Amino acid sequence: MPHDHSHDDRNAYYLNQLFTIAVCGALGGVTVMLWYSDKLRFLVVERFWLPTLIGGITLLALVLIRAIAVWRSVDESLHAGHTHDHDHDHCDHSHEQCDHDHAHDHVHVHDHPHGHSHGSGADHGHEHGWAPWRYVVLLVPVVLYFLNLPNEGFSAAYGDRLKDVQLDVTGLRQDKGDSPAFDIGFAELQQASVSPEQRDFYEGKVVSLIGKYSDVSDKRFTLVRFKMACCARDAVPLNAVIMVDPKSDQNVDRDKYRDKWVEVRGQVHFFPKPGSSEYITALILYATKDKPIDKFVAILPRPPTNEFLN
Amino acid sequence: MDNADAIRTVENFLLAFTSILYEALPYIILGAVIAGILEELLPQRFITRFLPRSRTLSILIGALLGLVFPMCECGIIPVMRRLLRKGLPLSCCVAYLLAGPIINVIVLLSTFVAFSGMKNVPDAAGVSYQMGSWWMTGMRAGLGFVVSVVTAHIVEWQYRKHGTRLLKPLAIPSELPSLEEKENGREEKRSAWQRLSNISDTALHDFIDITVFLILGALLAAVTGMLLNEKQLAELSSSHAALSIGLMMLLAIVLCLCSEADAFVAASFSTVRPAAKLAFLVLGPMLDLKLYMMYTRVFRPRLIYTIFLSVIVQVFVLTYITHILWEQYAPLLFAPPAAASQSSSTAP
Repeated sequence: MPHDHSHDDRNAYYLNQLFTIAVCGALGGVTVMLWYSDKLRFLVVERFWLPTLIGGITLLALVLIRAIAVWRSVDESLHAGHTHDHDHDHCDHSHEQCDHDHAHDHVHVHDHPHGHSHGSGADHGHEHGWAPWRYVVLLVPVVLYFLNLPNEGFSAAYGDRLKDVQLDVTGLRQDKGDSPAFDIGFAELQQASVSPEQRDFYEGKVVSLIGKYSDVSDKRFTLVRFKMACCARDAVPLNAVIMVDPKSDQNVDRDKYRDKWVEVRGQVHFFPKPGSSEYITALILYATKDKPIDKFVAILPRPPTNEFLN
Repeated sequence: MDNADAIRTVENFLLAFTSILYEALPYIILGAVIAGILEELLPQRFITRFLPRSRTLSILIGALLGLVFPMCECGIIPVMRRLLRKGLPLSCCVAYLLAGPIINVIVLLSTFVAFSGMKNVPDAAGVSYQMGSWWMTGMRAGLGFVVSVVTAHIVEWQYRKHGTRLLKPLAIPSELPSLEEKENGREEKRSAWQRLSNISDTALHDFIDITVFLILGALLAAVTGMLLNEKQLAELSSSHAALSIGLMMLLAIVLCLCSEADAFVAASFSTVRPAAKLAFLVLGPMLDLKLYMMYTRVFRPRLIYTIFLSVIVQVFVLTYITHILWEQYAPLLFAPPAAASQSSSTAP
């Protein structure tokens, strides 16, 4: 096979190797740092954290081996007292097929610069061409890491599926005013809306829920939480409508709560979703002048340890 | 949209993009390392010695290989490319590529868990009978197997017609020394360091080659994901079966979910008909935007379109048949004796 070991090819090869080492090293380092800085919790569920760390370390190990190999190949190339500055065009076949001497010694099997696909015994299926655009693409996650992005979960508005849903509030009645809050999680309450027995059981119970505030109106907002199966991309938004008792003269201070993590304590009510067989979970706040809204809605000083529910 | 909303939209997009990337990354690295080891240590045409002579039988084995070597749809690509170079028939590789991300213990188990406790849903016609965990897991594995085997046979036919012109140069079987040549001592002896160096070279090369396209695919998936409201799309599809199946297939292509996670997303579409969820679960691991980008590093466009067309047509037809049969027989088989219209009966 005719191939040219010119200086340009050699330079392209080394440039390619150096960029491979640098970019893969950066990606490996960023992956490890994401684990170290606990930012993986925004991206993937806990069972993926260890594989991600091991992946990052493996990448760094590969980079280290490659860096030493490239370093040694330069060294060996110099000590062998030859360069590959010659053209094989005289011989249109692979080295193995030659029955004559090429008058030089390949001191190593593979650690040498070839600016081409080998097609001979040392073919590792590589394209050694210089394609800088690929490194630009690969640097995107590295740049994002140094920009500290992403640094939190999805915004509440992104997961608010109930913003425009009209609810029929006739027939609302306060059953059990100040009973202690019933211990139930966001996901469990959401699940309860599916079953008639569970709806009957929880109807009128006072519960406390933590979620992100998504603004709707003076009398209503949505509490949003995301349930992740593997990664943030597959996270399913869980919504609960929070509604001030229509008879109350109290209003939600929208600017105060906007996009904040809040804990809401209210009475559970399940509304049939218009045009659907589903039910919507709502917490009703029976606010009065003596017991204003901020007694029911408390801003959390910091987001929960894990924003996502698993 | 004010500035704050715009910033939040960008942040949401970046979160979706990076989560796709970092979920797949460890498996791409694993795939690249395995690819490096295969390239360096596995003698050429070694695997073909153990394959049955019958191509159909070897395709069937390829489709079930995921039970022994579980790999996700991203990690499988660098491994498959190296197996192709080592002489494994293209049709067997395609069978493994398509069925492997579905027919493996992890994915089957996650499907089972996601659909356990699935409730039947009342609708205008009475009750929409949902598939429970056994049915959905079995149907997913069964349809995944059928689609992959049929597609592999089509690919085999194409390969006989067009040969290696269907493959990118890096996937074409190389002229490395065969096992016999190695045994005869014709292959050069390499030191452990040289082997390690070659493994790292191949692994990093494959890692970069595939990750570039994973990143581009993840960007594309994140953009389309931001433009779509999957819940609305799912609700839109709840009335007409064919539309429902088509839309859920479209959703599978644009969402680019991992096969381990997609069952949980499908299960969350509580009102969508079971056949449409099945279409989502069978098609997703075989075809999505990021996989398309990664396939371009192995296959020529002719082969990519052949695979995609075969997979799309089969998934649509098979799930539509499933829908007809399910709607007809599920009420007979699973209706509660007293109250067939009871809204919350647990799915079979």
